[in-house]
Amino acid sequence: MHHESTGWGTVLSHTDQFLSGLLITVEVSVLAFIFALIIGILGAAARRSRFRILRVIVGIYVEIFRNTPLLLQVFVAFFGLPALGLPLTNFQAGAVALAANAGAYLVEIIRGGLAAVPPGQLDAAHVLSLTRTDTFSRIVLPQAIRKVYPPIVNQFVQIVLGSSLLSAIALPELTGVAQTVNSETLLTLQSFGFALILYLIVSNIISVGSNLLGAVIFHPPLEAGGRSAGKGRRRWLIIPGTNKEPRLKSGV
Amino acid sequence: MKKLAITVLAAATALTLAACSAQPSANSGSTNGAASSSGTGVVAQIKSRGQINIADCLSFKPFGFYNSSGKPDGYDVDLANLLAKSLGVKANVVNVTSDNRIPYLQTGKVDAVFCNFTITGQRAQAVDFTIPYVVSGEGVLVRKSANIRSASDLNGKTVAVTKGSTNAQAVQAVAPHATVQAYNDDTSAMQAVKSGQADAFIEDLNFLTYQASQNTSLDLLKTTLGAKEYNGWAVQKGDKALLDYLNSFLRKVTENGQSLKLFKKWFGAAPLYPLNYTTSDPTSGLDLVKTAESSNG
Repeated sequence: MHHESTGWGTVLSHTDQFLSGLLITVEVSVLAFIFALIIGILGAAARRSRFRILRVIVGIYVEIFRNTPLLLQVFVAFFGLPALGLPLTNFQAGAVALAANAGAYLVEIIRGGLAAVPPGQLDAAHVLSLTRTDTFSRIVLPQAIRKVYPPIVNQFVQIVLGSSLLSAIALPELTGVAQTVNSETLLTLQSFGFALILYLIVSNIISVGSNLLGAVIFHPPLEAGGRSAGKGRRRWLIIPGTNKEPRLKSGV
Repeated sequence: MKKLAITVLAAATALTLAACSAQPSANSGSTNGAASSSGTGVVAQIKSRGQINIADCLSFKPFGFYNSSGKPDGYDVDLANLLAKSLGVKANVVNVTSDNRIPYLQTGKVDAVFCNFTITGQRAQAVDFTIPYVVSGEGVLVRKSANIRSASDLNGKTVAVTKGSTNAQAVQAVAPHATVQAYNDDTSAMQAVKSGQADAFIEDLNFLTYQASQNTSLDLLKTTLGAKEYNGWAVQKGDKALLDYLNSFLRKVTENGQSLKLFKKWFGAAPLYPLNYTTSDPTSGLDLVKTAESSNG
């Protein structure tokens, strides 16, 4: 088709729209991530508390939000909550749904990280008369953070990718913009392709950024695997499907 | 173990490829891409396949929707079944939305698009339109509690539209300061207005008249936005054989009153703008639209 040569050109002329959509994606994702972290930390503490009622309530929340589709959670937040007297804008409903969903996963991730600290160390700390605060901040936290850091970063990326569902509640984030540009230009491959590339760039920025941050704050450095890499096997570009096995001969 | 897995995968791939190429040539012909499908054989292909694939928006009651038994139903679907019967085949109605109906057609997943598809010059560059099957306009559905009396009252209010439809552009023209929410389909947009997320919904007049009659909290404004809309059926660009067949079918069911009977069944009244094929033999909806516009202007 003679349109093909100007296809990418036409779509790229909408770059402003795509970037404003990307900005909304980033805004809603960051906001949701912050709230999800708070939910995760409080929820993990509740799950480890000695009060059974706290453990049960948070347990039910985790089960519901991990075992139902995110899209349905988004619809309930946007279309269902107003019926209960809580009208949210599409941005707010999207942030709430994403935060509630990711928060459930983070509760389990953080709880697992805390539980992974060998209980023998807690006993030793008690024997050495360390205060509870000191025990937590100097013994438990440094070890737990090493365990939870890669899955938490991964959850952040999942939030960014999950934000594409918010196009269904008319939020003009990146996927919504791609749909609109597609319906205006009818250049499906280029419109959605451009959005895919932008998502890929954002995911890579998060991965690489978290690797760098991890290299700075973790001594010794974290082992390779998940979204972090050890020294000497650093992944600078995450290309889906090619980064499975570490290659010992060449770098990437 | 690894070698065994590779061998099994290779064998499975080879079998799948062999099975695909063994399918009747009618199927592979219908899944050709946007390249011109050379016209003449398409109707014969549909007949040999035994079914015609028609895209309809099944979130657009009473044009197209899923009835209580989960089957597609509505004005468009009844016409599709009538068309299939005249061809001697079955009708396979595929659910699409305003923003993916053209890609579905261009990639050959469907033979024709119904879906209350408004004929515009821009869309006519991508698809070929039949003569109109419904004439309509853009109406404004409002929540009674939103205090909207005219189109200019929409400024500062939230207006729901559907992606890929003519409504989105219509809002910008009359109320540039309205907040526009673009939904994937009409059901979501209706849901938004009913739940209060949006104050108004701009859509096809016939559709909104029906929706207003079903919802006491919603009202239809007396004004319509923009010009009359001629909604036709679309086929792949260059598919002249199917286009001619659909045109003669539309003329037939309009002249013998079958389409009017179906319209009254679904909408409860005769159409606001009756069909009037008086222009001398247009070959497509675009010709009719252009003639009508020049005679109005």
